[in-house]
Amino acid sequence: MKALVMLTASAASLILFSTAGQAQEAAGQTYTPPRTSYGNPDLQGIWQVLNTAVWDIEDHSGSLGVPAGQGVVVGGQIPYQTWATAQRHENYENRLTADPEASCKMVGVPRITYMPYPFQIVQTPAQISILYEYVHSLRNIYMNSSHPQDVIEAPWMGDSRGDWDGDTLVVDSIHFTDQTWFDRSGNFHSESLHVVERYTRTGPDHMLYEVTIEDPEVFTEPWQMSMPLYRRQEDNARLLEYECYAYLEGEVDRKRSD
Amino acid sequence: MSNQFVASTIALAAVVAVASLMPPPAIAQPEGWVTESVCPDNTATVFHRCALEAAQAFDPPRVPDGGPDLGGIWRLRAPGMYEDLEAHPRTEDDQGGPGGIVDPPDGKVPMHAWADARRRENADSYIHHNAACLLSGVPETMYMGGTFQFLQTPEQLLMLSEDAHAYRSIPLDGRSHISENIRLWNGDSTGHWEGNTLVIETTNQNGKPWLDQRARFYTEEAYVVERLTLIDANTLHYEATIDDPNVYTQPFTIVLAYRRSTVEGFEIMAMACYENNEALMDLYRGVGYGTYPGISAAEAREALEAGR
Repeated sequence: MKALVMLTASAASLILFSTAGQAQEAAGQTYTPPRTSYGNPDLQGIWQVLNTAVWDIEDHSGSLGVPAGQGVVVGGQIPYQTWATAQRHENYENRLTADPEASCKMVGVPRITYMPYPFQIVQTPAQISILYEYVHSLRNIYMNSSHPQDVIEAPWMGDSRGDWDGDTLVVDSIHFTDQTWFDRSGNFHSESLHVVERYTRTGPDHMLYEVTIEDPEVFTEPWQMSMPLYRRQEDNARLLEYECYAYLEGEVDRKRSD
Repeated sequence: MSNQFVASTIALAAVVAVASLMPPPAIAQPEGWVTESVCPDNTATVFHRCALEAAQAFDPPRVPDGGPDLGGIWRLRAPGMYEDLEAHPRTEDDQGGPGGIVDPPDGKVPMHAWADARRRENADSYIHHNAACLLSGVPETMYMGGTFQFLQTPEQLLMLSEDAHAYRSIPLDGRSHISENIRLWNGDSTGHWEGNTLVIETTNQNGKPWLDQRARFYTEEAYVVERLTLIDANTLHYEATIDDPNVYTQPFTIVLAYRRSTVEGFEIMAMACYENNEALMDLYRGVGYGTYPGISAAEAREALEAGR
């Protein structure tokens, strides 16, 4: 099954890439990004989203602790298979405990991008690393290389390989666990998840982030998300920490000793 | 009754065995790790003496617009530092090692008496933070795992560890430290070049990680200075001086050697830890262990005064 996904992945990506490219052109995107000393577009810095995707990537009404929000899913709705719609509903009902974020686990890709915490991109010619403040999540994106056939254990952040498509960084990721969700409302995927992200600078302090999600076990067809990333403007902007599980373990110990 | 006793004894023995065997993840030694070095690096004191001299004669490669290029895959040479900073034998619990302390010259950790007594008590009550997948702090993060990658740009040095996907980002742009009201598991580090040596100053630690499995601790006032110097193309000399006067009688210095991997295309793993650790934590808690809550500098000062 997985081999089949990998074989079809590149063909699907091509089609989806051209769709994404058109969206950019339609947005009148003509910005020429600064370059690193070795000539690649410079995506470095500290970035963060400003949206409600962490609660729900689809359009949603407000509720206690959740602001109403316009979704980031292109076309508005995730094309679930029938059984998966039911599963998503069950996830939603159990979200306060079943969401991996509720137990401080890593949240996977692309969810880590639209968590309400900053992340930092560091570039070298052969490797781009993204450091995330949320539980010191880390992605090492290797350029001009291919996915390994197998991995020793399911990496919670997947296996990521990068390429430049003009001025856009394209990151292809597979080898995911099925333990992560897309948001706090129970949108989910299987181990067959294949994620293609496109990072495109659209201005000095903005980047377009487009994602194609493919998972034939859960969805009827590939689908996309799109959102801007914003550069943190503070003079002293830096990643600090949100060591969620360290705080959680500390609470457990305090309660035990009371 | 006796069955229950036997069962809990076995459970405890299993936990003790697992606790001591946990870190670091077993790392196979692939072919292509550099074996030649200008200095012998299996004993900290010998390596240190040789390295200081060798560094004088070595002109390191540099990054464009920046200092010496420390980038690459690095493997720690000395085993067992995370078990005990001091020399210790191989036992059922420890892989053993020569220790890493070069100052004071006797190789012993210069702990105040109260602190030495306290850490022995702590070792019986708390698991080493690594067993709970918590960050290791500075400097322990530099000898907790075995394999590291450094990524260097003119503005910063990233230090990536395989141990619980821990990373450090060291800014090289001359910025100042954050407010002392912000305490972080790995502290706040800033770096600058002194000749060919990268000097990293770390403050703002939360004092919850230990320096080793012997429960050697420090407070949030700890001030750590690390010095990293290439002594040949493939050998990195590392020293860290820890200053925390309420816990230690004097600043002390440890030295480590790292060797470069020359394996083409080697990729370090950012391994998940906490996500797969629930059963083990339940086991530890089941036999009474907790995570170390730390001790504040104010409490340490009080304990020091009381002991005088």
